[in-house]
Amino acid sequence: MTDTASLPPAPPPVPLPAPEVEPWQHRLEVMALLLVVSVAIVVFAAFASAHAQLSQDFTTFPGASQPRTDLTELIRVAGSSANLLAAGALLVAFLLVTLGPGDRIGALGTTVLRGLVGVGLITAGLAALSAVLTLIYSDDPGSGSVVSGAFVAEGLVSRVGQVAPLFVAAAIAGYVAWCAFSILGEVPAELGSDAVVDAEEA
Amino acid sequence: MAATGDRAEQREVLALLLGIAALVLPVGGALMYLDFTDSESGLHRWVLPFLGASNTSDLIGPSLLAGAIGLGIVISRGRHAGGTVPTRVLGTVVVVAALTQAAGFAVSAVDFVRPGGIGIPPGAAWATAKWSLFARLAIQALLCVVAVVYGMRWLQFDDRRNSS
Repeated sequence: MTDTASLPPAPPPVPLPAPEVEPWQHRLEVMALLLVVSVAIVVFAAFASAHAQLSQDFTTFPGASQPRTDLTELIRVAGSSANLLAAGALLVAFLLVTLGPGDRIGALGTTVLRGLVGVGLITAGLAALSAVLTLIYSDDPGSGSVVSGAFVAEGLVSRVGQVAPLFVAAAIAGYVAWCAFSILGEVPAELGSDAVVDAEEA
Repeated sequence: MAATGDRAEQREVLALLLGIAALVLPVGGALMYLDFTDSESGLHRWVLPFLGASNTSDLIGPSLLAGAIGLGIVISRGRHAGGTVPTRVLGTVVVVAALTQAAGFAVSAVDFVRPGGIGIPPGAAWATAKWSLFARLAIQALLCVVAVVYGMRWLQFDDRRNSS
């Protein structure tokens, strides 16, 4: 048996320098930032594209509706771009930041999380609004889509099939925004705030 | 740590949402094409829902599937899917979604190359492109079958662990 009383006292702890962000963590955060920016550009470009599309006369198919440029139709058409691809990109950006190899999220990661809150909420709102508007869209005989080169009028079943992925996209984007917001709010020490770490050590 | 537990739960929910998306996408496509079957006559109209399922879940469907099963295995740290209720539900959803997508891709691939298939309209350009379409759909169907096998093994691994 070792007599613990005879052991020399332990040396005082040496203050370690503040750990730097893992290099690969920073690179992943750069990729995440690019993903968030690309989704933001896609969403905002969708409005311009939808406005241009709705302004044109696209009545080449028999029975197609006349051009409508009201806000409801604009949101309905632009919302189709806020689909699962955009929501999935936001999710990948979130996972890149939070599942990265580093123990701490850097300043860039914090910026990405803030961007995820804004872009995620916008994407979720746009997708949900577009889904609702598509679902309750009046039974206009001119509304429809082109399937295998033929114009097909949309029924209720078709609209349900069309909006279901949009609702899931809204759920994913909204939940990613909520997760990013919760991480920003509850664990400031893991976000790389040296002041908080120092305060906890004191 | 409480925050770590919260984050683990958040990742489980995110993986489950991915799995649901991978399931909703082909089902929604099949529903969209169901309307078209009303105006289509013939014995082959049952193929149309499969065409819709493969059309809407093209590329993004298998990506969602792979993301869901990958994230699920990561959050369970390689352990069985039956450890918690969310992972068990996730494993089931992933298997069902993979089966749905695999059926859509496989039937569409076969329809593209069989004589009289309705997926490709007549024309020389489409006739030359049908094998590339077949290859694309077949590899996606294969990916979905692999996801089915892995998902089943992920779920059945739990039974072996419990019985031993």
